[in-house]
Amino acid sequence: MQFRRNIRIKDIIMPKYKETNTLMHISNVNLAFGPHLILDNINLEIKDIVEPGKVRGQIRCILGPSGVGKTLLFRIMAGLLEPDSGEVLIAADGETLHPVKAGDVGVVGQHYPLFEHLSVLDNLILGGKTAGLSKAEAKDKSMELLDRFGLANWFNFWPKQLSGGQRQRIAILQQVMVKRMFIIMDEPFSGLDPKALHKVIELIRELAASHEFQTILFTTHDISAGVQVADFVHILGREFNAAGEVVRPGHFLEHMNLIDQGIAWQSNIRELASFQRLINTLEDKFDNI
Amino acid sequence: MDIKKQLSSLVTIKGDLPVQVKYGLYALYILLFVILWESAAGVAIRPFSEIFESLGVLWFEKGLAVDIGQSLQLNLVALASTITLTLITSYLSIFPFWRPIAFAISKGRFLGLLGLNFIFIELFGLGFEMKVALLTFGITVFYLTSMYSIVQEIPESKLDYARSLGLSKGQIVWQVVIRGTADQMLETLRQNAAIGWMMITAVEGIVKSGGIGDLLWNSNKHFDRGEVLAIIFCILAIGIFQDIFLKTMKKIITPHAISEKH
Repeated sequence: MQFRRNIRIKDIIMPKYKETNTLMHISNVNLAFGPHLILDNINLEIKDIVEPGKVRGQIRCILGPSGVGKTLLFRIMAGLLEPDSGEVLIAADGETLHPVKAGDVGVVGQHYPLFEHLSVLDNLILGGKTAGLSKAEAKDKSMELLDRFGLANWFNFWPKQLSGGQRQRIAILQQVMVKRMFIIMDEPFSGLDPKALHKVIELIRELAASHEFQTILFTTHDISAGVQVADFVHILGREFNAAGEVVRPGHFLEHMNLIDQGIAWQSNIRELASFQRLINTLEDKFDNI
Repeated sequence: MDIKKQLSSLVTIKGDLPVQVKYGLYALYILLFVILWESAAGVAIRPFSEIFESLGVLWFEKGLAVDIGQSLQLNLVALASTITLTLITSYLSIFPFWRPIAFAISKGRFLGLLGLNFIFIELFGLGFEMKVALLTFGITVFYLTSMYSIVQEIPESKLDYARSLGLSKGQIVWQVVIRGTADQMLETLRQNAAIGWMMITAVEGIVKSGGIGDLLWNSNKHFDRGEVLAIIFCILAIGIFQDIFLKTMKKIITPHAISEKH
Protein backbone atom coordinates (compact mmCIF):
# COMPACT_ATOMS: atom_id res chain seq x y z
CA MET A 1 0.00 0.00 0.00
CA GLN A 2 2.82 2.31 0.98
CA PHE A 3 4.53 1.60 -2.34
CA ARG A 4 1.38 2.29 -4.39
CA ARG A 5 0.80 5.58 -2.61
CA ASN A 6 4.37 6.62 -3.38
CA ILE A 7 3.93 5.90 -7.07
CA ARG A 8 0.75 7.93 -7.23
CA ILE A 9 2.33 10.94 -5.54
CA LYS A 10 5.36 10.65 -7.81
CA ASP A 11 3.19 10.59 -10.91
CA ILE A 12 1.24 13.61 -9.84
CA ILE A 13 4.41 15.54 -9.21
CA MET A 14 6.31 14.44 -12.34
CA PRO A 15 4.31 12.41 -14.86
CA LYS A 16 6.77 10.49 -17.04
CA TYR A 17 4.31 9.45 -19.66
CA LYS A 18 0.65 9.23 -20.55
CA GLU A 19 -1.37 6.37 -21.94
CA THR A 20 -3.33 7.26 -25.06
CA ASN A 21 -5.05 5.14 -27.71
CA THR A 22 -5.44 1.37 -27.45
CA LEU A 23 -3.03 -0.57 -29.65
CA MET A 24 -4.14 -4.09 -28.74
CA HIS A 25 -7.12 -5.36 -26.84
CA ILE A 26 -7.38 -8.97 -25.76
CA SER A 27 -10.71 -9.77 -24.19
CA ASN A 28 -12.01 -12.98 -22.59
CA VAL A 29 -9.78 -15.31 -24.60
CA ASN A 30 -10.23 -18.99 -23.81
CA LEU A 31 -8.54 -21.96 -25.41
CA ALA A 32 -8.97 -25.67 -24.73
CA PHE A 33 -7.51 -28.81 -26.24
CA GLY A 34 -10.29 -31.37 -25.96
CA PRO A 35 -11.48 -31.36 -22.35
CA HIS A 36 -8.34 -29.56 -21.13
CA LEU A 37 -8.65 -25.82 -20.72
CA ILE A 38 -5.26 -24.23 -21.45
CA LEU A 39 -5.97 -20.50 -21.40
CA ASP A 40 -8.66 -19.21 -19.11
CA ASN A 41 -10.18 -15.80 -19.61
CA ILE A 42 -7.17 -13.86 -20.82
CA ASN A 43 -7.59 -10.10 -20.81
CA LEU A 44 -5.02 -7.47 -21.66
CA GLU A 45 -5.16 -3.95 -22.99
CA ILE A 46 -2.06 -2.39 -24.46
CA LYS A 47 -2.18 1.38 -24.83
CA ASP A 48 0.25 3.69 -26.56
CA ILE A 49 2.74 5.02 -24.04
CA VAL A 50 3.60 8.60 -24.88
CA GLU A 51 6.64 10.20 -23.32
CA PRO A 52 6.60 13.93 -24.03
CA GLY A 53 9.31 14.99 -26.46
CA LYS A 54 10.37 11.46 -27.33
CA VAL A 55 9.56 8.79 -29.88
CA ARG A 56 9.18 5.70 -27.77
CA GLY A 57 7.60 2.34 -28.44
CA GLN A 58 7.15 -0.18 -25.68
CA ILE A 59 8.47 -3.56 -24.68
CA ARG A 60 6.36 -6.04 -22.77
CA CYS A 61 7.52 -9.30 -21.27
CA ILE A 62 5.25 -12.23 -20.58
CA LEU A 63 6.72 -14.38 -17.87
CA GLY A 64 5.40 -17.81 -17.12
CA PRO A 65 6.53 -21.37 -16.47
CA SER A 66 6.87 -23.96 -19.25
CA GLY A 67 3.60 -25.42 -20.42
CA VAL A 68 1.43 -22.56 -19.16
CA GLY A 69 0.37 -21.62 -22.70
CA LYS A 70 2.63 -18.69 -23.58
CA THR A 71 3.33 -19.87 -27.12
CA LEU A 72 -0.36 -20.60 -27.71
CA LEU A 73 -1.27 -17.16 -26.44
CA PHE A 74 1.30 -15.65 -28.81
CA ARG A 75 -0.16 -17.59 -31.73
CA ILE A 76 -3.60 -16.23 -30.83
CA MET A 77 -2.24 -12.68 -30.50
CA ALA A 78 -0.59 -13.02 -33.92
CA GLY A 79 -3.80 -14.22 -35.58
CA LEU A 80 -2.28 -17.63 -36.28
CA LEU A 81 -4.62 -19.54 -33.98
CA GLU A 82 -8.33 -18.98 -33.41
CA PRO A 83 -9.31 -18.99 -29.72
CA ASP A 84 -12.37 -20.98 -28.64
CA SER A 85 -13.92 -17.75 -27.42
CA GLY A 86 -12.93 -14.12 -26.95
CA GLU A 87 -11.16 -11.86 -29.39
CA VAL A 88 -7.97 -10.00 -30.09
CA LEU A 89 -8.29 -6.54 -31.58
CA ILE A 90 -5.28 -4.75 -32.92
CA ALA A 91 -4.56 -1.29 -34.25
CA ALA A 92 -1.98 -2.28 -36.89
CA ASP A 93 -1.75 1.37 -37.96
CA GLY A 94 -1.74 2.58 -34.35
CA GLU A 95 -5.19 4.14 -34.75
CA THR A 96 -8.05 1.82 -35.73
CA LEU A 97 -8.79 -1.42 -33.92
CA HIS A 98 -9.78 -4.48 -35.95
CA PRO A 99 -9.72 -8.25 -35.32
CA VAL A 100 -6.15 -9.50 -35.67
CA LYS A 101 -5.29 -11.61 -38.72
CA ALA A 102 -2.14 -13.47 -39.75
CA GLY A 103 0.41 -11.00 -41.05
CA ASP A 104 -0.67 -8.10 -38.78
CA VAL A 105 1.82 -9.12 -36.12
CA GLY A 106 5.42 -10.08 -36.79
CA VAL A 107 6.58 -13.26 -35.08
CA VAL A 108 10.10 -14.31 -34.20
CA GLY A 109 9.55 -17.88 -33.10
CA GLN A 110 11.67 -20.12 -30.93
CA HIS A 111 14.89 -21.26 -32.64
CA TYR A 112 14.82 -18.11 -34.78
CA PRO A 113 13.20 -19.34 -37.98
CA LEU A 114 14.51 -18.07 -41.29
CA PHE A 115 14.13 -19.43 -44.80
CA GLU A 116 17.02 -21.87 -44.91
CA HIS A 117 17.19 -21.86 -48.72
CA LEU A 118 17.67 -18.08 -48.85
CA SER A 119 20.86 -16.22 -47.99
CA VAL A 120 20.80 -13.72 -45.12
CA LEU A 121 20.37 -10.88 -47.61
CA ASP A 122 17.61 -12.65 -49.54
CA ASN A 123 15.74 -13.36 -46.28
CA LEU A 124 15.73 -9.64 -45.55
CA ILE A 125 14.84 -8.72 -49.13
CA LEU A 126 11.84 -11.08 -48.98
CA GLY A 127 10.70 -9.28 -45.82
CA GLY A 128 11.05 -5.91 -47.56
CA LYS A 129 9.15 -7.10 -50.62
CA THR A 130 6.19 -8.22 -48.49
CA ALA A 131 6.13 -4.66 -47.11
CA GLY A 132 5.78 -3.33 -50.66
CA LEU A 133 9.37 -2.33 -51.41
CA SER A 134 10.88 -2.99 -54.82
CA LYS A 135 13.72 -5.51 -54.91
CA ALA A 136 16.33 -2.74 -55.31
CA GLU A 137 14.86 -0.72 -52.42
CA ALA A 138 14.63 -3.83 -50.24
CA LYS A 139 18.25 -4.71 -51.02
CA ASP A 140 19.48 -1.21 -50.14
CA LYS A 141 17.54 -1.16 -46.88
CA SER A 142 18.68 -4.68 -45.99
CA MET A 143 22.34 -3.82 -46.49
CA GLU A 144 21.87 -0.63 -44.48
CA LEU A 145 20.37 -2.60 -41.56
CA LEU A 146 23.02 -5.32 -41.73
CA ASP A 147 25.71 -2.66 -41.69
CA ARG A 148 24.10 -0.78 -38.80
CA PHE A 149 23.92 -3.88 -36.63
CA GLY A 150 27.35 -5.22 -37.49
CA LEU A 151 26.12 -8.10 -39.60
CA ALA A 152 27.17 -6.91 -43.07
CA ASN A 153 29.94 -9.51 -43.34
CA TRP A 154 27.36 -12.27 -43.21
CA PHE A 155 25.05 -10.99 -45.96
CA ASN A 156 25.71 -13.91 -48.31
CA PHE A 157 25.80 -16.64 -45.66
CA TRP A 158 23.13 -19.34 -45.38
CA PRO A 159 21.14 -19.22 -42.11
CA LYS A 160 22.60 -22.64 -41.25
CA GLN A 161 26.06 -21.10 -41.16
CA LEU A 162 25.15 -18.48 -38.53
CA SER A 163 25.52 -18.70 -34.77
CA GLY A 164 22.40 -18.58 -32.57
CA GLY A 165 22.89 -14.89 -31.74
CA GLN A 166 23.41 -13.93 -35.37
CA ARG A 167 20.34 -15.90 -36.46
CA GLN A 168 18.28 -14.22 -33.77
CA ARG A 169 19.31 -10.74 -34.88
CA ILE A 170 18.70 -11.54 -38.56
CA ALA A 171 15.23 -12.91 -37.67
CA ILE A 172 14.45 -9.67 -35.81
CA LEU A 173 15.81 -7.55 -38.68
CA GLN A 174 13.59 -9.48 -41.09
CA GLN A 175 10.60 -8.33 -39.05
CA VAL A 176 11.96 -4.78 -39.16
CA MET A 177 11.98 -5.06 -42.97
CA VAL A 178 8.32 -6.16 -42.91
CA LYS A 179 7.50 -3.00 -40.90
CA ARG A 180 5.13 -4.53 -38.37
CA MET A 181 4.10 -2.27 -35.46
CA PHE A 182 3.67 -5.38 -33.30
CA ILE A 183 6.43 -7.94 -33.01
CA ILE A 184 6.13 -11.02 -30.86
CA MET A 185 9.25 -12.91 -29.85
CA ASP A 186 9.13 -16.33 -28.32
CA GLU A 187 12.12 -16.91 -26.04
CA PRO A 188 14.44 -14.45 -27.80
CA PHE A 189 17.24 -14.96 -25.26
CA SER A 190 17.34 -18.74 -25.12
CA GLY A 191 20.69 -20.35 -25.84
CA LEU A 192 22.59 -17.08 -26.24
CA ASP A 193 25.96 -16.40 -24.65
CA PRO A 194 26.26 -13.13 -22.64
CA LYS A 195 27.78 -11.19 -25.56
CA ALA A 196 25.08 -12.30 -28.00
CA LEU A 197 22.41 -11.68 -25.34
CA HIS A 198 23.63 -8.11 -24.90
CA LYS A 199 23.51 -7.51 -28.68
CA VAL A 200 19.96 -8.90 -28.91
CA ILE A 201 18.82 -6.73 -25.98
CA GLU A 202 20.33 -3.65 -27.65
CA LEU A 203 18.63 -4.51 -30.92
CA ILE A 204 15.24 -4.94 -29.20
CA ARG A 205 15.66 -1.59 -27.43
CA GLU A 206 16.66 0.17 -30.64
CA LEU A 207 13.77 -1.41 -32.51
CA ALA A 208 11.28 -0.32 -29.83
CA ALA A 209 12.58 3.23 -30.05
CA SER A 210 12.17 3.34 -33.82
CA HIS A 211 8.46 4.24 -33.86
CA GLU A 212 5.89 5.61 -31.43
CA PHE A 213 3.52 2.67 -31.96
CA GLN A 214 6.21 -0.01 -32.06
CA THR A 215 5.25 -2.68 -29.55
CA ILE A 216 7.39 -5.69 -28.76
CA LEU A 217 6.10 -8.59 -26.72
CA PHE A 218 8.31 -11.43 -25.71
CA THR A 219 8.38 -14.46 -23.48
CA THR A 220 11.43 -15.59 -21.61
CA HIS A 221 12.63 -17.86 -18.87
CA ASP A 222 15.51 -15.49 -18.28
CA ILE A 223 13.90 -13.22 -15.68
CA SER A 224 16.93 -10.95 -15.39
CA ALA A 225 17.20 -10.34 -19.15
CA GLY A 226 13.43 -9.91 -19.37
CA VAL A 227 13.28 -7.27 -16.65
CA GLN A 228 16.32 -5.45 -18.06
CA VAL A 229 14.60 -4.78 -21.34
CA ALA A 230 10.87 -4.67 -20.50
CA ASP A 231 8.65 -1.70 -19.65
CA PHE A 232 5.88 -4.00 -18.43
CA VAL A 233 5.89 -7.54 -17.11
CA HIS A 234 2.78 -9.72 -17.32
CA ILE A 235 2.81 -12.91 -15.30
CA LEU A 236 0.98 -15.82 -16.85
CA GLY A 237 0.44 -18.66 -14.43
CA ARG A 238 -1.84 -21.32 -13.03
CA GLU A 239 -3.46 -21.78 -9.64
CA PHE A 240 -3.00 -25.01 -7.74
CA ASN A 241 -4.85 -26.52 -4.80
CA ALA A 242 -3.18 -28.03 -1.76
CA ALA A 243 -2.87 -31.37 -3.54
CA GLY A 244 -0.90 -29.72 -6.36
CA GLU A 245 -3.73 -30.05 -8.90
CA VAL A 246 -4.42 -27.21 -11.31
CA VAL A 247 -7.60 -25.47 -10.23
CA ARG A 248 -7.30 -22.69 -12.75
CA PRO A 249 -5.22 -22.98 -15.92
CA GLY A 250 -3.24 -20.24 -17.68
CA HIS A 251 -4.36 -16.71 -16.93
CA PHE A 252 -2.72 -13.42 -16.08
CA LEU A 253 -1.86 -13.37 -12.38
CA GLU A 254 -0.31 -9.96 -12.30
CA HIS A 255 0.60 -7.00 -14.49
CA MET A 256 3.65 -5.00 -13.46
CA ASN A 257 4.43 -1.52 -14.70
CA LEU A 258 8.21 -1.18 -14.50
CA ILE A 259 8.11 2.47 -15.58
CA ASP A 260 6.05 3.35 -12.52
CA GLN A 261 8.37 1.23 -10.40
CA GLY A 262 11.30 3.33 -11.60
CA ILE A 263 13.05 0.37 -13.18
CA ALA A 264 12.36 0.74 -16.89
CA TRP A 265 13.93 3.53 -18.96
CA GLN A 266 16.97 3.67 -16.66
CA SER A 267 20.45 3.41 -18.11
CA ASN A 268 21.95 1.86 -14.97
CA ILE A 269 19.12 -0.60 -14.45
CA ARG A 270 21.29 -3.51 -13.26
CA GLU A 271 22.70 -1.40 -10.46
CA LEU A 272 19.30 -0.46 -9.03
CA ALA A 273 18.33 -2.09 -5.76
CA SER A 274 14.72 -2.17 -6.96
CA PHE A 275 15.84 -4.20 -9.99
CA GLN A 276 17.43 -6.85 -7.79
CA ARG A 277 14.40 -6.89 -5.48
CA LEU A 278 12.09 -7.40 -8.42
CA ILE A 279 14.19 -10.26 -9.77
CA ASN A 280 14.03 -11.95 -6.35
CA THR A 281 10.28 -11.42 -6.10
CA LEU A 282 9.70 -12.83 -9.58
CA GLU A 283 11.91 -15.84 -8.91
CA ASP A 284 9.91 -16.57 -5.74
CA LYS A 285 6.65 -16.24 -7.63
CA PHE A 286 7.85 -18.68 -10.27
CA ASP A 287 8.05 -21.46 -7.71
CA ASN A 288 4.32 -21.28 -7.10
CA ILE A 289 2.86 -20.88 -10.59
CA MET B 1 50.94 -42.00 -33.00
CA ASP B 2 49.71 -40.80 -36.38
CA ILE B 3 48.74 -44.32 -37.45
CA LYS B 4 47.02 -44.81 -34.10
CA LYS B 5 45.04 -41.61 -34.66
CA GLN B 6 44.08 -42.67 -38.19
CA LEU B 7 42.94 -46.07 -36.97
CA SER B 8 40.86 -44.55 -34.19
CA SER B 9 39.11 -42.36 -36.77
CA LEU B 10 37.71 -45.58 -38.28
CA VAL B 11 35.50 -46.11 -35.23
CA THR B 12 34.67 -42.49 -34.41
CA ILE B 13 30.93 -41.86 -34.33
CA LYS B 14 30.06 -39.87 -37.47
CA GLY B 15 33.78 -39.22 -37.86
CA ASP B 16 35.46 -37.99 -41.02
CA LEU B 17 38.22 -40.14 -42.45
CA PRO B 18 41.44 -38.65 -43.78
CA VAL B 19 41.50 -38.90 -47.61
CA GLN B 20 44.23 -41.56 -47.75
CA VAL B 21 42.48 -43.70 -45.15
CA LYS B 22 39.14 -43.33 -46.96
CA TYR B 23 40.46 -44.42 -50.36
CA GLY B 24 42.62 -47.08 -48.76
CA LEU B 25 39.51 -48.47 -47.10
CA TYR B 26 37.60 -48.47 -50.39
CA ALA B 27 40.46 -50.30 -52.11
CA LEU B 28 40.58 -52.84 -49.30
CA TYR B 29 36.85 -53.60 -49.52
CA ILE B 30 37.03 -53.94 -53.33
CA LEU B 31 39.96 -56.31 -52.99
CA LEU B 32 38.09 -58.35 -50.37
CA PHE B 33 35.04 -58.49 -52.62
CA VAL B 34 37.12 -59.71 -55.59
CA ILE B 35 38.83 -62.36 -53.45
CA LEU B 36 35.54 -63.59 -51.99
CA TRP B 37 33.90 -63.58 -55.42
CA GLU B 38 36.73 -65.51 -57.05
CA SER B 39 36.93 -68.02 -54.24
CA ALA B 40 33.17 -68.61 -54.41
CA ALA B 41 33.17 -68.98 -58.21
CA GLY B 42 31.19 -71.98 -59.36
CA VAL B 43 28.07 -72.63 -61.38
CA ALA B 44 26.18 -69.47 -60.44
CA ILE B 45 29.03 -67.12 -59.62
CA ARG B 46 31.34 -66.91 -62.62
CA PRO B 47 34.96 -65.72 -62.44
CA PHE B 48 35.69 -62.15 -63.50
CA SER B 49 37.68 -63.34 -66.51
CA GLU B 50 34.52 -64.95 -67.92
CA ILE B 51 32.37 -61.93 -67.06
CA PHE B 52 34.77 -59.61 -68.91
CA GLU B 53 34.84 -62.01 -71.86
CA SER B 54 31.01 -62.04 -71.94
CA LEU B 55 30.98 -58.27 -71.72
CA GLY B 56 33.13 -58.14 -74.87
CA VAL B 57 30.75 -60.50 -76.68
CA LEU B 58 27.73 -58.47 -75.58
CA TRP B 59 29.33 -55.19 -76.61
CA PHE B 60 30.84 -56.16 -79.96
CA GLU B 61 28.50 -58.93 -81.15
CA LYS B 62 25.12 -58.46 -79.49
CA GLY B 63 24.77 -54.66 -79.56
CA LEU B 64 24.88 -53.99 -75.81
CA ALA B 65 25.51 -50.28 -76.46
CA VAL B 66 22.23 -49.97 -78.39
CA ASP B 67 20.31 -51.76 -75.62
CA ILE B 68 21.87 -49.55 -72.96
CA GLY B 69 20.88 -46.50 -75.03
CA GLN B 70 17.28 -47.77 -75.26
CA SER B 71 17.11 -48.40 -71.53
CA LEU B 72 18.66 -45.02 -70.71
CA GLN B 73 16.08 -43.30 -72.90
CA LEU B 74 13.26 -45.28 -71.27
CA ASN B 75 14.53 -44.52 -67.79
CA LEU B 76 14.98 -40.82 -68.52
CA VAL B 77 11.49 -40.41 -69.99
CA ALA B 78 9.96 -42.40 -67.12
CA LEU B 79 11.94 -40.38 -64.58
CA ALA B 80 10.78 -37.10 -66.12
CA SER B 81 7.14 -38.28 -66.02
CA THR B 82 7.61 -39.52 -62.45
CA ILE B 83 9.07 -36.21 -61.27
CA THR B 84 6.24 -34.23 -62.91
CA LEU B 85 3.47 -36.45 -61.52
CA THR B 86 5.00 -36.81 -58.06
CA LEU B 87 5.81 -33.18 -57.50
CA ILE B 88 2.44 -31.87 -58.66
CA THR B 89 0.63 -34.47 -56.54
CA SER B 90 2.76 -34.07 -53.43
CA TYR B 91 2.90 -30.26 -53.46
CA LEU B 92 -0.87 -30.07 -53.92
CA SER B 93 -1.27 -32.36 -50.90
CA ILE B 94 -0.59 -29.31 -48.69
CA PHE B 95 -4.26 -28.53 -49.45
CA PRO B 96 -6.77 -30.89 -47.80
CA PHE B 97 -8.85 -31.35 -50.98
CA TRP B 98 -5.97 -33.14 -52.72
CA ARG B 99 -4.68 -35.15 -49.76
CA PRO B 100 -6.85 -38.28 -50.36
CA ILE B 101 -5.64 -38.48 -53.98
CA ALA B 102 -1.96 -38.32 -52.98
CA PHE B 103 -2.56 -40.78 -50.14
CA ALA B 104 -4.33 -43.25 -52.45
CA ILE B 105 -1.64 -43.10 -55.18
CA SER B 106 1.11 -43.67 -52.63
CA LYS B 107 -0.61 -46.88 -51.55
CA GLY B 108 -0.12 -48.19 -55.10
CA ARG B 109 3.30 -49.38 -53.92
CA PHE B 110 1.62 -52.51 -52.55
CA LEU B 111 0.57 -53.50 -56.07
CA GLY B 112 2.97 -55.65 -58.09
CA LEU B 113 3.85 -54.81 -61.67
CA LEU B 114 3.00 -58.34 -62.76
CA GLY B 115 -0.72 -58.49 -63.24
CA LEU B 116 -1.03 -54.74 -63.65
CA ASN B 117 0.81 -55.10 -66.96
CA PHE B 118 -2.42 -56.33 -68.62
CA ILE B 119 -4.17 -53.09 -67.74
CA PHE B 120 -1.22 -51.05 -69.01
CA ILE B 121 -1.05 -53.09 -72.25
CA GLU B 122 -4.76 -52.46 -72.80
CA LEU B 123 -4.33 -48.75 -72.16
CA PHE B 124 -1.04 -48.07 -73.95
CA GLY B 125 -0.48 -50.99 -76.37
CA LEU B 126 2.68 -53.07 -76.42
CA GLY B 127 5.32 -50.43 -77.19
CA PHE B 128 7.50 -47.70 -75.73
CA GLU B 129 4.55 -45.81 -74.19
CA MET B 130 3.51 -48.86 -72.20
CA LYS B 131 7.04 -49.36 -70.89
CA VAL B 132 7.19 -45.69 -69.89
CA ALA B 133 3.77 -45.88 -68.21
CA LEU B 134 4.61 -49.06 -66.29
CA LEU B 135 7.99 -47.78 -65.15
CA THR B 136 6.54 -44.37 -64.25
CA PHE B 137 3.90 -46.09 -62.14
CA GLY B 138 6.53 -48.30 -60.50
CA ILE B 139 8.73 -45.38 -59.44
CA THR B 140 5.97 -42.84 -58.73
CA VAL B 141 4.25 -44.88 -56.03
CA PHE B 142 7.51 -45.02 -54.04
CA TYR B 143 8.72 -41.49 -54.77
CA LEU B 144 5.30 -40.06 -53.96
CA THR B 145 5.28 -41.89 -50.62
CA SER B 146 8.50 -40.12 -49.66
CA MET B 147 7.44 -36.72 -50.99
CA TYR B 148 3.95 -36.94 -49.49
CA SER B 149 5.45 -37.56 -46.08
CA ILE B 150 7.97 -34.68 -46.52
CA VAL B 151 5.15 -32.26 -47.37
CA GLN B 152 2.89 -33.48 -44.56
CA GLU B 153 5.70 -33.18 -42.04
CA ILE B 154 6.46 -29.52 -42.74
CA PRO B 155 6.31 -28.11 -39.20
CA GLU B 156 3.42 -25.80 -38.36
CA SER B 157 6.01 -23.32 -37.05
CA LYS B 158 7.45 -22.87 -40.57
CA LEU B 159 3.98 -22.17 -41.97
CA ASP B 160 3.25 -19.80 -39.07
CA TYR B 161 6.50 -17.99 -39.76
CA ALA B 162 5.62 -17.51 -43.43
CA ARG B 163 2.06 -16.41 -42.58
CA SER B 164 3.33 -13.93 -40.00
CA LEU B 165 5.57 -12.37 -42.67
CA GLY B 166 2.40 -11.71 -44.64
CA LEU B 167 3.16 -14.12 -47.49
CA SER B 168 0.22 -15.06 -49.69
CA LYS B 169 -0.88 -18.70 -50.09
CA GLY B 170 0.98 -18.91 -53.39
CA GLN B 171 4.14 -17.46 -51.83
CA ILE B 172 3.89 -19.88 -48.90
CA VAL B 173 3.63 -22.84 -51.28
CA TRP B 174 6.59 -21.53 -53.28
CA GLN B 175 8.88 -20.57 -50.36
CA VAL B 176 7.99 -23.19 -47.74
CA VAL B 177 6.61 -26.17 -49.64
CA ILE B 178 8.55 -26.10 -52.91
CA ARG B 179 11.83 -24.26 -52.27
CA GLY B 180 11.92 -25.14 -48.58
CA THR B 181 11.87 -28.88 -49.30
CA ALA B 182 13.96 -28.84 -52.51
CA ASP B 183 16.96 -30.49 -50.86
CA GLN B 184 14.81 -33.33 -49.51
CA MET B 185 13.06 -33.60 -52.88
CA LEU B 186 16.40 -34.14 -54.63
CA GLU B 187 17.63 -36.57 -51.98
CA THR B 188 14.51 -38.73 -52.19
CA LEU B 189 14.64 -38.51 -55.98
CA ARG B 190 18.17 -39.93 -55.82
CA GLN B 191 16.98 -42.82 -53.67
CA ASN B 192 13.86 -43.56 -55.67
CA ALA B 193 15.42 -43.15 -59.12
CA ALA B 194 17.44 -46.25 -58.25
CA ILE B 195 14.17 -48.18 -58.15
CA GLY B 196 13.83 -47.44 -61.88
CA TRP B 197 16.91 -49.52 -62.65
CA MET B 198 15.59 -52.31 -60.44
CA MET B 199 12.28 -52.31 -62.30
CA ILE B 200 13.55 -51.73 -65.81
CA THR B 201 14.51 -55.36 -66.25
CA ALA B 202 10.98 -56.49 -65.31
CA VAL B 203 9.33 -53.89 -67.57
CA GLU B 204 11.56 -54.64 -70.58
CA GLY B 205 11.15 -58.31 -69.92
CA ILE B 206 7.38 -58.00 -70.22
CA VAL B 207 7.40 -56.05 -73.49
CA LYS B 208 10.49 -57.66 -75.03
CA SER B 209 11.26 -54.99 -77.58
CA GLY B 210 14.93 -54.36 -76.81
CA GLY B 211 16.75 -52.72 -73.94
CA ILE B 212 19.10 -54.04 -71.33
CA GLY B 213 16.27 -55.84 -69.50
CA ASP B 214 15.28 -57.74 -72.63
CA LEU B 215 18.91 -58.72 -73.16
CA LEU B 216 19.10 -59.92 -69.56
CA TRP B 217 16.00 -62.08 -69.96
CA ASN B 218 17.46 -63.67 -73.12
CA SER B 219 20.82 -64.44 -71.51
CA ASN B 220 19.00 -65.83 -68.46
CA LYS B 221 16.84 -68.04 -70.68
CA HIS B 222 19.98 -69.50 -72.28
CA PHE B 223 21.69 -70.01 -68.88
CA ASP B 224 24.58 -67.82 -69.96
CA ARG B 225 25.73 -66.87 -66.47
CA GLY B 226 28.71 -64.84 -67.64
CA GLU B 227 26.47 -62.61 -69.78
CA VAL B 228 23.85 -62.30 -67.02
CA LEU B 229 26.47 -61.13 -64.55
CA ALA B 230 28.07 -58.81 -67.12
CA ILE B 231 24.67 -57.14 -67.71
CA ILE B 232 23.98 -56.88 -63.97
CA PHE B 233 27.35 -55.15 -63.44
CA CYS B 234 26.54 -52.82 -66.35
CA ILE B 235 23.25 -51.84 -64.69
CA LEU B 236 25.10 -51.32 -61.41
CA ALA B 237 27.66 -49.06 -63.09
CA ILE B 238 24.93 -46.98 -64.79
CA GLY B 239 23.03 -46.74 -61.49
CA ILE B 240 26.12 -45.53 -59.63
CA PHE B 241 26.77 -42.94 -62.35
CA GLN B 242 23.14 -41.75 -62.09
CA ASP B 243 23.49 -41.53 -58.32
CA ILE B 244 26.65 -39.42 -58.59
CA PHE B 245 24.95 -37.19 -61.18
CA LEU B 246 21.90 -36.60 -58.95
CA LYS B 247 24.08 -35.98 -55.90
CA THR B 248 26.03 -33.37 -57.87
CA MET B 249 22.77 -31.77 -59.02
CA LYS B 250 21.65 -31.58 -55.39
CA LYS B 251 24.86 -29.78 -54.45
CA ILE B 252 24.42 -27.30 -57.29
CA ILE B 253 20.68 -26.66 -56.87
CA THR B 254 20.51 -26.61 -53.07
CA PRO B 255 23.94 -25.47 -51.82
CA HIS B 256 22.42 -24.37 -48.49
CA ALA B 257 21.81 -28.01 -47.59
CA ILE B 258 25.48 -28.93 -47.60
CA SER B 259 26.98 -25.83 -46.00
CA GLU B 260 28.90 -26.35 -42.83
CA LYS B 261 27.54 -25.03 -39.56
CA HIS B 262 29.16 -21.96 -38.03
